[in-house]
Amino acid sequence: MTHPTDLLSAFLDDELSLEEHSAVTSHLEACARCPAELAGLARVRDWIRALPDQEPPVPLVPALRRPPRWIWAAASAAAAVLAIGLVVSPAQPEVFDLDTLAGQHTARVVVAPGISSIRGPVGGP
Amino acid sequence: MPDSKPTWEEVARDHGRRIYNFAYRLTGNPDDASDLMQEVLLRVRRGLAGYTPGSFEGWLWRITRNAFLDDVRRRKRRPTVALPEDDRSAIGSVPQPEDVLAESRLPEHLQQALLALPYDFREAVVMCDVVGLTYDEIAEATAVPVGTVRSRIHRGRKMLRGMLE
Repeated sequence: MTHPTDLLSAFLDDELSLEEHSAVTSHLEACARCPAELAGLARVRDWIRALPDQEPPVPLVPALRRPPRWIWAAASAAAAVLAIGLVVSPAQPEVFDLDTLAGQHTARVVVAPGISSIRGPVGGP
Repeated sequence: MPDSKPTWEEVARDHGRRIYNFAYRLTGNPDDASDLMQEVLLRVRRGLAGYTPGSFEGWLWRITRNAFLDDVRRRKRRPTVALPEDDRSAIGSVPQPEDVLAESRLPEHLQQALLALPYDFREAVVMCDVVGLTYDEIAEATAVPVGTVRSRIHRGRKMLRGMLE
């Protein structure tokens, strides 16, 4: 006897053609093994269908206005890389405090044409 | 849903929960499911302009499936671990029968068993038994013949039975 085991799930789901459905029905009436197989498959199907419905954690429509979590994660990672870059190789300041520098180094001053005097303390170590 | 072009708000309202549950059962965790649901709804909003009224379920679930697979690729993770021929022995921790009989733990065991299925089988079973799609709709969403869908659902349920009983 050939057992139509591969058709049993589709039989449960009423997804067989009329001919197939009729053939499986006839077989089940005569077979000692397939009804148990069918019952086992039906049990599994019932378990899956009885799994509790999960409630989405966020309102569905407002959720569309917020990017997925991975985008935030990517943005955070990019910000972290930028911050590390700033710490490791800080940008050179463009404005110097002349008073501080003057206390440690000899100042070299180039006077532009037309400037006759410089006011303020200029010194060096 | 009738054969007319819905708005994305209607899709979110009428299908968002099913998309979330599909994603939850495929991924097994609420955060990934939530991300996937949002991604699907965004794709639906973008794709509705090009949608031709017809098989809405096939269209929607094809988008959902592709979003899931894209997410898997982006995270460079495998959607599943393929099982050898002996389905039962391949599972590291097969639930004991007495545990399975404890009804309160069955959903947990069942979810773990679902996650242990090869992806194609898990997808077909979840689309059929969680989402409630017909075999034809699953075939359209997954771009495979109906005979393949039939086989995947049957083999998936059989593997689950082997793991849980």
